Amino acid sequence: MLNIKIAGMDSGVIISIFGNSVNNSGGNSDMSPEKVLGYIQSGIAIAIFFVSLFISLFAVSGVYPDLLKKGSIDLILSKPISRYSIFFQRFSGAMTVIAGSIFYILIFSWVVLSSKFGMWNVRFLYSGALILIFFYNIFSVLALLSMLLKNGVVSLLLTYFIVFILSPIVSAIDRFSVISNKIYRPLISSLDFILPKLSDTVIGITDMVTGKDISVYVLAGPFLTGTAVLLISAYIFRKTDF
Amino acid sequence: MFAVESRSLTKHYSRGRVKALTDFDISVEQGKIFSLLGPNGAGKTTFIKLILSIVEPTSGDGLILGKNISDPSSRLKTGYLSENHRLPEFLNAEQFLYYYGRMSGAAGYELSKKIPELLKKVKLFDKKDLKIRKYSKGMLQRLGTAQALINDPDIIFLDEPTDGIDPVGRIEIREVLLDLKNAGKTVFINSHLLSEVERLSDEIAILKEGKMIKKGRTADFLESTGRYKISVETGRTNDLYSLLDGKNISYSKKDSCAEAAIEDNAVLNDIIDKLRSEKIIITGIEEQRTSLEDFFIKVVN
Repeated sequence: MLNIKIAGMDSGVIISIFGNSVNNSGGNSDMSPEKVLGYIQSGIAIAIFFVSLFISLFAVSGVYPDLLKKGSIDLILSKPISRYSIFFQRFSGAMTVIAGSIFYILIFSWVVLSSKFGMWNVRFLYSGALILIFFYNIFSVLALLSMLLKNGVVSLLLTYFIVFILSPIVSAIDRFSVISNKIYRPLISSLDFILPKLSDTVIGITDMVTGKDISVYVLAGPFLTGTAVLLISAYIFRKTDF
Repeated sequence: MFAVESRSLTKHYSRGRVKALTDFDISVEQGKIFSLLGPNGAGKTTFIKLILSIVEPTSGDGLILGKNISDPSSRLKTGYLSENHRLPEFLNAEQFLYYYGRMSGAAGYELSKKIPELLKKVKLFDKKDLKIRKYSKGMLQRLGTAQALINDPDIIFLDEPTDGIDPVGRIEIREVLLDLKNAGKTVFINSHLLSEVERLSDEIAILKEGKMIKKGRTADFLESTGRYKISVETGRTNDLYSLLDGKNISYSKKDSCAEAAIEDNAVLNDIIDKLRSEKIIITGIEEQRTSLEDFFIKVVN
């Protein structure tokens, strides 16, 4: 956790972060103000990531179950629109609203922080893309579960379970080689590869905000698996009788 | 070109164990009111859902105004009101019609004219700002009907349009349907209310267990029973009975009238002449026809 102490001095402002002091007046310093700002912004971006993920999933949990309700879906499918259009327009509509909300918070935080520090770290805004790609991945899982279960609450709880419980457990089992069985080990590794990973995205956000290179996998992985899951969901919607 | 056509349209569920509709062939002419009748589970709703691609056929295909039903544009000139429709409760009538109108392919400027017109037609104009969640069952049905007409469709599919509606509401919906017919629209109705169907429909098809067992013009099903109900002025009923007795015509006595079995028009005219010559005022002569309900029960059983 971040531990930030700011004390006023005649010569400027001293910031203590993780026990390292920073002096923006040009005196001796263990960390540059850019780094401090990077850490603060990383913390904010990660907080936005977790909060927005939790709230946004809740907000979009009804997007498909509401569509699939008997009496509602009949009327919509009777319109001259293809099923794929209905499915993807619904998805992109929800994504647009969530993207707007995430970038609204990010831009607002960025303006406040940057004006306070007098440094404008644009990389902070780029973290929105990572948050959004991860959300895209999770939303596609939620869409698939909604198509299969046709129940918003159960689908949402299962999605939370996959993201916040199953994925970290599978990831830990895989990374620490808890299972050495020749049959189960590849299965766990495959599952770890497929499941959305919070830890990778958190590291990716920190690296992106602090200016480090990030792995292509952090961006491409969730995007590709999300797209695959989304296409499967759309196909199920296309083939379902209502 | 037919409004609706189906060729061996079949829908089976559970790997053929449930046969919702089997080899259903139908051709509905444009500008007619066509009704599908049948007991519950006969396949009426399944047929409409197949035609509108809400369910996929197991085999066979269908056409709407010559376009294959698998093409979404075949639904450009159709309107549909489902049996148990669920409308978005957080919208008001205007917003709902605009939203569904846009989905139906209508342009925004067309809708700004069309929505008030339709709301007046279904007598909901005064309630246009009220949230749908506050609507009664009858109001929901009328709003649903307006939704089905929002894109000025040529074919309107209505699944139990008067179900759960009070008699006044039924009359209003019937008037809307007759207006549509007069405007040259094709109306396709699924209904249990046989008296409504009898009044409205030009053609009827009867389904049972997913198969069509009868199809034809409504008038052809409502055959004459060969009986006439003859009513005369109060106090002269006995004279009527004597006349019928004299002609050896079997009849049943009713208040101020007799229901007589008269198979020949000449005999009927002769009775009328006799009654008039004896200065008996005839208050009514009504041909007794099989009601659609009688016919339906006979066919289904």
